[in-house]
Amino acid sequence: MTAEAVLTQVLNGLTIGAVLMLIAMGLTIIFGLMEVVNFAHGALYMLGAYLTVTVVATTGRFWLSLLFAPIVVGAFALLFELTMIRPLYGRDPLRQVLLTFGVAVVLREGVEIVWGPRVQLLLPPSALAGSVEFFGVQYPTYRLAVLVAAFGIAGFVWLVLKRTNIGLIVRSGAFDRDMVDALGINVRRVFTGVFVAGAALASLAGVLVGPLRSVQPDMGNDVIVDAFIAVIVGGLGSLPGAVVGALLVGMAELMGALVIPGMAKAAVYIAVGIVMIIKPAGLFGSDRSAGGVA
Amino acid sequence: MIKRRIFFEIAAGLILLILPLASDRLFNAYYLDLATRIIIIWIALLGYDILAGYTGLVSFGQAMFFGLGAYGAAWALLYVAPSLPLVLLIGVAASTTAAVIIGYLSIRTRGVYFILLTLVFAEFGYQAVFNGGEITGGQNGLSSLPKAPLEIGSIMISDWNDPTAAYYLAVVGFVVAYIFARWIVGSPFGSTLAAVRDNDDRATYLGYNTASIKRRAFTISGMFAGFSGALWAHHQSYVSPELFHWTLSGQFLIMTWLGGVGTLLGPLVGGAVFTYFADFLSSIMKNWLIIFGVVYVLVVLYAPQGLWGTLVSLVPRSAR
Repeated sequence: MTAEAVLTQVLNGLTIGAVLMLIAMGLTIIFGLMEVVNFAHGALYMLGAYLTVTVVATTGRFWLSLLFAPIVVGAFALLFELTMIRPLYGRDPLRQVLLTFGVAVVLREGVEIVWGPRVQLLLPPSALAGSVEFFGVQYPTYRLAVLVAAFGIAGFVWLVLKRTNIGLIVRSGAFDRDMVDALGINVRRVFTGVFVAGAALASLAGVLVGPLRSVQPDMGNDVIVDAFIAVIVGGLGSLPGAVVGALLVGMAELMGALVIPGMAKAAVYIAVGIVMIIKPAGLFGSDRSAGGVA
Repeated sequence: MIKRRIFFEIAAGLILLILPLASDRLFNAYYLDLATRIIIIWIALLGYDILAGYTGLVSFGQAMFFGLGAYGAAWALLYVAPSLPLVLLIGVAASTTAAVIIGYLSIRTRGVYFILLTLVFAEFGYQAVFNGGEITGGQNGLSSLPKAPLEIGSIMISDWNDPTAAYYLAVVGFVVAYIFARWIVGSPFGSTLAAVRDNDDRATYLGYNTASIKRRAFTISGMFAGFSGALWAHHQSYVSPELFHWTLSGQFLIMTWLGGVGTLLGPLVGGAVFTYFADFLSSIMKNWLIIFGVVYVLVVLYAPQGLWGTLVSLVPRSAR
């Protein structure tokens, strides 16, 4: 295999990983703070992709969906958190997980009812059509743009968490939410905000991925498994873990496809297996995040 | 209370026994086949309730053990011999072996982590079967499986294509599984399961090896799922990778919570309601699952004890 072909595959893997990273970051922040694993996170990503289909079909402007999808999905997440997740705080956290699974089922079927079962095609915006030369490789412009955008968004989230007061509250809430509550901060409101922000991130991933992969009703069910693998490998609740886990899954999937065609996922599962045997809490996870490893 | 339950169980058992008499008279013979499928699924739900309800371990990997039981049975039917005991044995052995390994790996973690790990392992199974080439039939699965002959002694009477015979086979399998499940949850071991569910740390301090208890519960539930899967493959004469998919585990979960987790009888109610209405609804709409999704969300939110649990709680305590 030529060096150019390898570089192309590495870029492909990074692109898949970068989109997955946006989903995994939301999942892991929500878990770190609220101890809820959101099974509906993949469905929110799918919703982002379908909203893009509608925006492009009605206005012809792809860019609008970068604004429209997070707002609509964020509003949905706000309702979801307030009416369904919030009443269950302080009870068995398992019930919230079971609940999000039910919402994922409803969203998946609902999308198929609204948009139909067929695969929807999305084209990249015309300004990003075609390809550019990148270290001697002709690479699609849109893919590079997705790569840059995903890392840009991730970097922004990182800055917010590390450099702002809101980020400080979120991080301390993940450390000890009762203490944050006792200090006079409304932790419930922080939960809601984080849940909505995580949903918006997932929907942005859906917008970006639309022109790359086919938009179809099972895309949420498929991506959530990859996102779970990413956070398990990285360590649930850890932000660097989500980033590294997602990029590893993206790369492993592409490399696996190169080595054993048709078994793209095999490398991913072998990687998970090895991590689980050596460090059950994940690469960046503390024992606490694994719920105490027995 | 216990006397009431045994009375109820015997009554329900008698109804199961005489149901085929009504077939073609009170209802279309198609519904005997539907009942057969429900009873086979019940076996998997019993195992799932021992794990999720009695031990408090929610697994999203149950489909894998069901699928392994089914594929094990399919391989036995195709490549070894169409003998019923052999088919069931190979199916159950395959799922139990997998449950021991996956239980060992995933029970080191708790809570949500455990849920995600079981899901990921099951997804590995799905991918392996989906990409398994000729051995698994890949995407299409294995179809036109032969049926085992129906013999008494060594005299062949018929085969298991006869709907009434197939029904009674499922009933016998279910009754055996039910008695076994009742015995487990009523035994001292069953009490330790509840201790682990209610307070893991306390059970550890009392000197129990909680990890080992959980592993055993996990293996037992995998065994039930495998038995159910093997009967399923034999009954349907067809297996496909969908049997491994995590969304099937999700359906087991919906059935169990719909009926009422941790009661053994509740999941049976949930399984019957789900399978019956799924059969009915899928003939009039494509996205029938959305209805169960909505009902399930409402149950989790407002009636966590499920249909059966709610029904039982309506009966005055003194009369139970």
